[in-house]
Amino acid sequence: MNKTRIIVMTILLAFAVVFSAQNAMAVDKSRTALSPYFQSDTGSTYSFMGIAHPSLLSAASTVGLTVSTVGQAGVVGSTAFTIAAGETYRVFIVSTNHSTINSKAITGAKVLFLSLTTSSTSGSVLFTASKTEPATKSAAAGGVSDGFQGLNQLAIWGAVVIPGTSSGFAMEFIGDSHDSNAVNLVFDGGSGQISVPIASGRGID
Amino acid sequence: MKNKLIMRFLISVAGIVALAFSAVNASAVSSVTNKQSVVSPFWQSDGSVYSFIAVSHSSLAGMNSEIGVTLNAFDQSGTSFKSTSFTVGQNATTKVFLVSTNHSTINSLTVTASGSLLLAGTTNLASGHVTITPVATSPQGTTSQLKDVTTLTFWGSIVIPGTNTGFAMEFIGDTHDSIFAVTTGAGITTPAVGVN
Repeated sequence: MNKTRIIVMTILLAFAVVFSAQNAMAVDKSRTALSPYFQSDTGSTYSFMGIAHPSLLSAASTVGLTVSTVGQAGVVGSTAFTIAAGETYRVFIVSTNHSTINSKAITGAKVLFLSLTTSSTSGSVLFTASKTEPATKSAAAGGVSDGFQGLNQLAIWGAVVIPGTSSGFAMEFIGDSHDSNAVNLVFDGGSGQISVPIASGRGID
Repeated sequence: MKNKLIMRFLISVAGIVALAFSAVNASAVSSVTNKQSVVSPFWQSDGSVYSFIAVSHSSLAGMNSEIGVTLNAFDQSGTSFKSTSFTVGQNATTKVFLVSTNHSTINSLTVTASGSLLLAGTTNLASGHVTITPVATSPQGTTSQLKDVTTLTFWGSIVIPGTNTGFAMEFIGDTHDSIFAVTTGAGITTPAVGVN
């Protein structure tokens, strides 16, 4: 009897561990923006992203976030920073020891590098808001104005750049201010009208 | 006596904190109203690379025949690189160049057409974001003829003249991705909204 209980409890514990691990891997959509594809090749192709805080009236004066590159083997590099109203950060995803895109050639307080391996790497980019409940408006505190601190308050732009030909391909960003409208459809049965109040937005809808 | 000293200390601390907060507010970048604004996340200029923005009035029903626009290009620190205000007339397109001073090909001698604006700044590398806001104080008011920059169309590119290549810029909140909402019961279609 005792043996059976121990076996059952062991199995239940194993399930609990497995499920908690799976939940830990899940991305919270409300905190997330993402780019489907980046690429970095040895000494040549790299990916560039500009992340701006355009100081929208709805936004808090600072927004914290983590940028992670997710390759075929999971997260391969990340950087966390806080962007203040009006600022623009430049983020380069580049192979280590790139001849022209490196920390000696490109300097500045708002320049960040996600230097990967010297081999070719590709995958997606994950942006995670530091604010755990971005749909809740933050109160003013410590010199930071009140407002939302979700990634839908930021504007992100980027390109996969081929330096040899000074050309490249536009990157796509999902969940920033561009396409993060949270729309509530409310049907009024009496008039037959549908109301569409525009809410504060919340990452990927 | 001791209580007085403590009180004076607390008042001094409160004063310092108040000064610090006022300094923060004084240096803060002014906010843009979401539903009345258009933003572009990134522009760049240096001795050769420049950014080009076209602003068009497509004369859609409901648009005022003239719409005043204020375009402000900020650098990475949030300081204004250059700004300008202009009016876009019906069916007209205004061209804006964000370029370094004395650029060899994009300068006041080569760009002379009316409706073309040069915003020339440092010859060093500069980059940041752009905000586009209305000149009108009530651009989405109750009148049927709107002076709303979110009803305009924007297109732009970061141009690399040496190779005749470039990268498309992005504009958030213009006609491209605006949303029309319907007010319940009243049957009124409200105008496009800018950045959500």
